[in-house]
Amino acid sequence: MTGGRSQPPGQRANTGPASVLRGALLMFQKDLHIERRSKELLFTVVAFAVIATVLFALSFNLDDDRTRAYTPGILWVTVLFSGSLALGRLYDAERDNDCLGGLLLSAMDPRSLYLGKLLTLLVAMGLMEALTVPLVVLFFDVGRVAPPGALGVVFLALGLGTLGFAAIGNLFAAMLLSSRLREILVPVIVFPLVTPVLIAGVQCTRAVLSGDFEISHWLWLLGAFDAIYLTIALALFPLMLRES
Amino acid sequence: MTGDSSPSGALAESGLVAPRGPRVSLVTQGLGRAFGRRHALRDVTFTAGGGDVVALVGHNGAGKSTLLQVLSTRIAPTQGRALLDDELLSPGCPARVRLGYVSHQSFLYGALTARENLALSARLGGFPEDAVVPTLERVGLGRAKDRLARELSRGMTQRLMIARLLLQDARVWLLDEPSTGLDAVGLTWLQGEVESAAAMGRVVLFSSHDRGLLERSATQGLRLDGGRLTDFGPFRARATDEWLRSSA
Repeated sequence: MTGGRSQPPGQRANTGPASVLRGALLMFQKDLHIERRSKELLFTVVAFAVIATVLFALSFNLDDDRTRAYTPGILWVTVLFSGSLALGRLYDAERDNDCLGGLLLSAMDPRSLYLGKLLTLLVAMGLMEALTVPLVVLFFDVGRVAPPGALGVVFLALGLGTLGFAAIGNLFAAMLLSSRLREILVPVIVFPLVTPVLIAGVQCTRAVLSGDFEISHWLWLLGAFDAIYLTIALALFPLMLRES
Repeated sequence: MTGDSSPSGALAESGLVAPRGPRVSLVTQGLGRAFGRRHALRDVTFTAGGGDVVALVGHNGAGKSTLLQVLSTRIAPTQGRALLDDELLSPGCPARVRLGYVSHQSFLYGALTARENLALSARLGGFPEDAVVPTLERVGLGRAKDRLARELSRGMTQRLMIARLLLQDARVWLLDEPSTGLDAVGLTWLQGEVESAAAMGRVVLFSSHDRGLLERSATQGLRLDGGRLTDFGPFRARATDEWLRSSA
């Protein structure tokens, strides 16, 4: 071993928690920089969500009150499908020129890449949701019947659900980066895993929109899945990326 | 066949330039890599020390790129091991940051400029960012520093990749066909950088079919054939043609 041989700062691997977070912010800033120039990720996610919401609205008889019962499902499925498109594009920049390989050879801890991509995904999906929820409220006339404060809770549930989806989706998007079938494989693997998130999110949203605010158990469930997915993903991500 | 030699670089040996920094040693012991049933590399054993410029020669598919990939820690060996200063080299190992690797892939973000790409490398490695522009000027990219990486020519991309090595101050330079895309001026510049790195006590391993680079820079030759090391020794002890005979 090199033992006590001193090395310049740049010739040591960065593995401490502060270094991991610094690296994550750096990856996030890099993604924002690239996104500002290309706008590919945001355009893909937002355009799909808007089109899907409009198509759902055109497909249902909005004069029928029973349609309103489907609104939570429509909202969550739209969000998850849009999110799966984001997963397909999340690592595009890293695939070109094997930039992922370059990152793995650098001093950066691989978990920084995971956390940076998680931030990017959360921001993209957050913006998409900020646009999708008002559209759903408008098209499905939710505002007329939803009690005050309901939309705030819906956003909270969406935030927790999005974190769980992004935490596990990010892991498989990176793992399947070099697969030609990744656009298919990522949703096929991720959707079954996030089914509990979808169920909890839909039930929570349905309850709140019908005036039932006894939803803390759903929120706890969403939070618990977030913690489980994040813990597993952070543990597995460095191992999955070796030789990717 | 194996080799074991670690002479200093020509300039350092001459005493004109004193090697700087701690002495570097790169050792492989029975190194091999298989992809499924195909062995791209097997039983490669050699030692290189600070100041050595080792030219990897061999036919296309002889295992040169695989050897560089394994040494860079981009892929793991399936047999044997490689050591840098007695520290095991494997994907994710701490020693990876002391290796500089120029591969067929540029590792560059096409949507970022040359300066932004190098600044990203500096931040990732904890190197001073104020060294970015001087390094770009040193490699001849001073006027192209604000051009997107995807708009750079192959030769300019090659210069940018070597700029990253210089910024990183890598102890070991692993260069896979570094002369690709470089014009005559670029080749002379590359030879100068390689000699300078060797004079500073770095280990340089490069694969190239460029005669000028081989003749001017190589101190050691390492021939691979079918993934096996078939020859290793002082490059200038034999005619270049003899080394290149096995090259495609």
